Amino acid sequence: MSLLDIILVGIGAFILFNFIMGSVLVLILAERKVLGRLQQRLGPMRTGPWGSLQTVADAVKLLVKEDLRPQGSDVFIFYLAPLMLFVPGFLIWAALPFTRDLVLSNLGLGLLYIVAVSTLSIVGMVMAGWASNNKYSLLGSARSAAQLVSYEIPLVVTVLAVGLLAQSLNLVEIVERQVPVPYILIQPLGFLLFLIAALAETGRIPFDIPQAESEIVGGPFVEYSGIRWGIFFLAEYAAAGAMAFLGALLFLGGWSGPFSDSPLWLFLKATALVLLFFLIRAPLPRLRVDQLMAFAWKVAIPLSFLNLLLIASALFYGWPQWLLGAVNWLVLVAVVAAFSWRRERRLARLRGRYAA
Amino acid sequence: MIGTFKGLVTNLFLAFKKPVTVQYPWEHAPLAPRYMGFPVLTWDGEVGEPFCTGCLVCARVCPTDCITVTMKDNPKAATGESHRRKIVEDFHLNTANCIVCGLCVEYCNFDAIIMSDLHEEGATTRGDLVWDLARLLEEGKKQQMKGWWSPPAAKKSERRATAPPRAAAPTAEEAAPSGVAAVAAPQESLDPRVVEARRKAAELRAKKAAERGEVVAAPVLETPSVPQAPGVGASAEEGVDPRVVEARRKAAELRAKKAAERAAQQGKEGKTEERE
Repeated sequence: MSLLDIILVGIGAFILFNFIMGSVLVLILAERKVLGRLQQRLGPMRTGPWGSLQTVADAVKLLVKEDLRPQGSDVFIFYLAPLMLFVPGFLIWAALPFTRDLVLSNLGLGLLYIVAVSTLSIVGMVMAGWASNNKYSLLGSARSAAQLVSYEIPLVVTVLAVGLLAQSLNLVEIVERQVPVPYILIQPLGFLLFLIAALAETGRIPFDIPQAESEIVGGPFVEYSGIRWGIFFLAEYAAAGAMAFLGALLFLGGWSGPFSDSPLWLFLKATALVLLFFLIRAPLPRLRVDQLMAFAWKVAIPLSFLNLLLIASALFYGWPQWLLGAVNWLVLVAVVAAFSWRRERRLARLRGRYAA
Repeated sequence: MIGTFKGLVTNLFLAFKKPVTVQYPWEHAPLAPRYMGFPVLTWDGEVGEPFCTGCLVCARVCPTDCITVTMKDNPKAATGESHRRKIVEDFHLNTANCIVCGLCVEYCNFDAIIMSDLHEEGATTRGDLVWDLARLLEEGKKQQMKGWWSPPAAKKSERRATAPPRAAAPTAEEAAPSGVAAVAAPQESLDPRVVEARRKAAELRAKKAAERGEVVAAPVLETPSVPQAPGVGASAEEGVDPRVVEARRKAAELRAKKAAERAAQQGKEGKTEERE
């Protein structure tokens, strides 16, 4: 690698970093506005026209806020933790391709790299929780470790199924394999599991158990203030954005679109996924820890393995894609029906118990 | 899982409804008719003095002791201009203490104090929160100009003497002097500007009410037609603003639609219950 290459990569990383920063600012504002509209509110309206400068104002406020450190905290780890959470988020973005050529580093095993790097965020959470010397922080980091480890499995297995179907772990190739039919049509079950696991991985609202303001006042971030807290926030949204992009690349056909292949399609698809994240956030309450774990281990993991098994057998017996798609849709419908049936039965049982 | 999906779809449609937020300092939610704000003193335009005689009834009945009144001999009574032998000398209302209960208005024998629509009264010092006689009268005049209140024909004591027993007739009109109480107001005494302002206010109220789709629209609208002040009569009886008519029609339609929707909703709910 020559010096020029290093400089070029450096410039690329700088641009990407600024892109992430900008998109996180936009994401936070968009989340507040969209969530407001979903709840028949207006969202931020006062700072700038239609509140468009709200996140900028928030960022400035965080920058000038006093940087506090609790007594008895582990100084080095306390200061390192925000970075440990943010850097993996950035590293994911480094391997995400925006088009065939527009990618910071086109790794042959890009998917494996992304999965491996995204797991690192657990370390940051646990470090923050431990170093804060606060029981809420510790509790939050313990919850987050449990949640992230549990949902890492369905995430990895569904992503692996995509890799298996595409016969490649390179994201560019995966996108190119989806040219006639995006994978969401061939493996909807996988997409659903990916969506749930991605929400859980990024700790978004139905799965925001590690933070759980109403129970443990903010989890691992309780003791952080000012820009260190801001970095945590940034990392969270960077990870959510990365997950949306990953979902768009793996299941929605990436940059390939009806008229021409363009990064615009990728942005549109990722935006749609982000809006879906917001929509999911609006009406749903937080799960209980045991419900979360039960869903991960009893439902998500078995189903993701079933999905993997389906695709593996399809490849082994050389099923055509339409057959695989049909079977996958069937399984999805069966799963949803089973869930609804089980719920009805449970409701009936509860009614019988409390009716008398 | 289907239930969750249903919830998501419902919420998605909610996003396209008009937000309920009112951008407060720039926008104001409409006040309810007969909204009770801080009490203010009324002005007798006939004589050119306050109605208040400084009798202290309000000060005694006030649960928070926020009213202070002093009384003096009325100089105008000596010249025969006024029928009031005593008149208020000074009146202080501490709005920091006032709980806007309306007892002073209820107990006042002279229609001298009314509930205004003032509710955004802040001050930077505690002293400024105490309103003196001048301010109370000024605010009261503004209320009268707005048509929020107008002097009734008969004195309160007379009304009370001739009124049927409480159980027989609701005393709402009597207790809360509003446009409704102005039915037989002495016409000649009224400043034409007041008449005009009151007519405008009534129209505005009717329009607002119609916009809100309230049933109030009809009765409120008919009130201003009663005083028959010169120059108003023509427009009051027949010439209701076509916009008002239109608004009223729309309101009625909206009401019918809402009722139908509600009925449909109830039917639906009934069905869901059956199914589950």
